[in-house]
Amino acid sequence: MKKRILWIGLMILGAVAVAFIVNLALVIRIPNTQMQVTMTEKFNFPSNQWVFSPPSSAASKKVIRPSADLLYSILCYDVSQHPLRVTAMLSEYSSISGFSMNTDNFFVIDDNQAKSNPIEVVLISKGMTYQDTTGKAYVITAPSPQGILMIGAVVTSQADLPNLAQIQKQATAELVR
Amino acid sequence: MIVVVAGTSAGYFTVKPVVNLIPLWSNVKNGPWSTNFSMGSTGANPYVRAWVAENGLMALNKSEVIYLDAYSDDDANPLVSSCDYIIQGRAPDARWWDITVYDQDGFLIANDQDRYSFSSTDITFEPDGSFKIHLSNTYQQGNWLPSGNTKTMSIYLRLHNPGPAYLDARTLQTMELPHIIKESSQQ
Repeated sequence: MKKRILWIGLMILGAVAVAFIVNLALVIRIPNTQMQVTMTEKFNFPSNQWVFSPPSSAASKKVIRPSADLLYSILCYDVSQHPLRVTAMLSEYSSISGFSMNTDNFFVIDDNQAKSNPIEVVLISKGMTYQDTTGKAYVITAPSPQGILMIGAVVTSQADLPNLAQIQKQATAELVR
Repeated sequence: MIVVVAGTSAGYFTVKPVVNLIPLWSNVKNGPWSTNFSMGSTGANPYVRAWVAENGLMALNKSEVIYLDAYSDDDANPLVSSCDYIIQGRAPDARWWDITVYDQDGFLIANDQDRYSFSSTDITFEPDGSFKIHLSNTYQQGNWLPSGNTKTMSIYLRLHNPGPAYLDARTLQTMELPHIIKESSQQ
């Protein structure tokens, strides 16, 4: 009888251990899968190009909980082969940020922190080197070769919208070959 | 064999509940508001990352933005569009802030005014410096946030470049945050 109880206990313990391992393995895959789906199916933007988005509205369904008060530009980066150099004018209350495939926000620089305006960021992948000769660029190592860069600017009034859009559309991106 | 099948099934079917549950343990709560300081952070655990992936992709880390969400009013009743609410308080200590309402799926609520939020730069303050937002599906004078025709709602308070008190879990838990008060039910 005791042996039987011990045996059942061991089986339950084993099932719990397997459940934990399977659960964790699946959970770890969720961020990467969601980022992949967002980049390739929802956005479907060409790599390494800024894409300007109009202000979010009730029709915006690509990303959950969009901000109605921000103007976004999105860039799906791929720095697996070459560094990527981006420049962006940062208007008041705006920032440029990066997201790796595990959803981590691996850098964010806002208009108060930027050492120059337009700000210059050179994104490199692990193992790459880049020598910034200008001293103006932020050289940032991306945790994953692919991911998302975002410029977000607060729309303080509807009257400012055309001007903010114009500023954001001046953002540039080029691979450094 | 039965151990592997049972364990695999349990591990698979508990993914969603666990992802929705585990980040709650590390949430900072204050009345109806809550946030997770690990959101967007490189120090987030796999469960917080999975939650962010499904509920708030492209969240910035807390030094830039703190996201406080509320799914209920001050009395812990779920927010529903068939009720009218007042969101009232004092301007938070942040460089810029906004309050946005979302439908049950986390999207902006359609309305004729295209009004989805109020921010520190477009809200009308009361003479004493406080603010009052009417969350209702019928026209209201003042700061009216239309709640449309959705089932449940959530409210997001975004604090851009928050003051130091908001970056400390202990002070955030006890400080005065906007109240969400149910005014009336239309049912």
